[in-house]
Amino acid sequence: MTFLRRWLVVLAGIAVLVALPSAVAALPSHTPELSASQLLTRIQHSASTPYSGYAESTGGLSLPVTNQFSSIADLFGGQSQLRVWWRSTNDWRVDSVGIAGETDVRRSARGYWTWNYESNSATWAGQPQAPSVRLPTAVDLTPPELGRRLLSEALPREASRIGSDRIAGHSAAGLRIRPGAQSGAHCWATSPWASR
Amino acid sequence: MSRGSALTPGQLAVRTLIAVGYVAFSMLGVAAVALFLSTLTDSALLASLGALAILIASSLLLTIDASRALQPYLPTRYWLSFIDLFRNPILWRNVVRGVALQGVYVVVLLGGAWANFTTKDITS
Repeated sequence: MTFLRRWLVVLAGIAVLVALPSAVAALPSHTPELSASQLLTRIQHSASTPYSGYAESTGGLSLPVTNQFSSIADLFGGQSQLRVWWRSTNDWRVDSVGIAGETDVRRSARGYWTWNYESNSATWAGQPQAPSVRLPTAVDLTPPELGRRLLSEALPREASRIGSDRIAGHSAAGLRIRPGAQSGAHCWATSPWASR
Repeated sequence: MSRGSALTPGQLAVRTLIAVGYVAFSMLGVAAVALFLSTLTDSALLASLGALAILIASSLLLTIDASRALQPYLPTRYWLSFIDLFRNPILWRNVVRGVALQGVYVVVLLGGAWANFTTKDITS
């Protein structure tokens, strides 16, 4: 009898532990009341909003490239763990964290410092202006940067609000973009969520 | 040769101590598995081999892409995260998750052992 009672206690405890993550995810989200165009403007002008955080991206595109562009292949086909400290578009640091090392890029007004732990080397690229055509780098995978890129050409009339959601534990406002909403010829839509 | 920001000896000592503590704590999950298995069987060998089997299976599953959905729950998932203690600044995320995960394993398996072990165990 003790045996059964004790097992019931343990099973109840396990059930609570298992339910905990979904209970946290189900917490109601609160976002400020904003119209679609207000939210869109905020996202498009968010480049100078400072933040710091951690982001993960998983790529599903296997590129048939060898050593020369291995960083691109890793970015598109593998998992990237990023740590970001952001002040503005020309003042930030983004670390690509690996299992036993990291590659850090520090952008300042005077150029780019790239620090690679495995090769124990730091390189300096003194470009005050980013080139207009370049290969994607880790900084392009940060969620705010992706969101701004996705919405850079969006017009207020193409935007509509959808419900807010809880993303990575934060309340985030939902926005839907239907490109060419008036012609109705395009049928794809994108739904980013934005959070402070 | 250029170098990144260096840690002071004091920082290094503190971080090494935390890393040692973290690694030791990370083993508690496997120890709890062994303890739980020992309440299921009379054989000490079977209990330790069972814990070893779970340890090896967990390490193997971590290397397979197909088991990605399972990976956050494997007992050895955050074992290597002690490396994050030597980043600058420290990346606490995985260390905290590692401690929490081990805590869950310890609580659940010790609970199971307690539930399973209601009488005196003198059989051999």
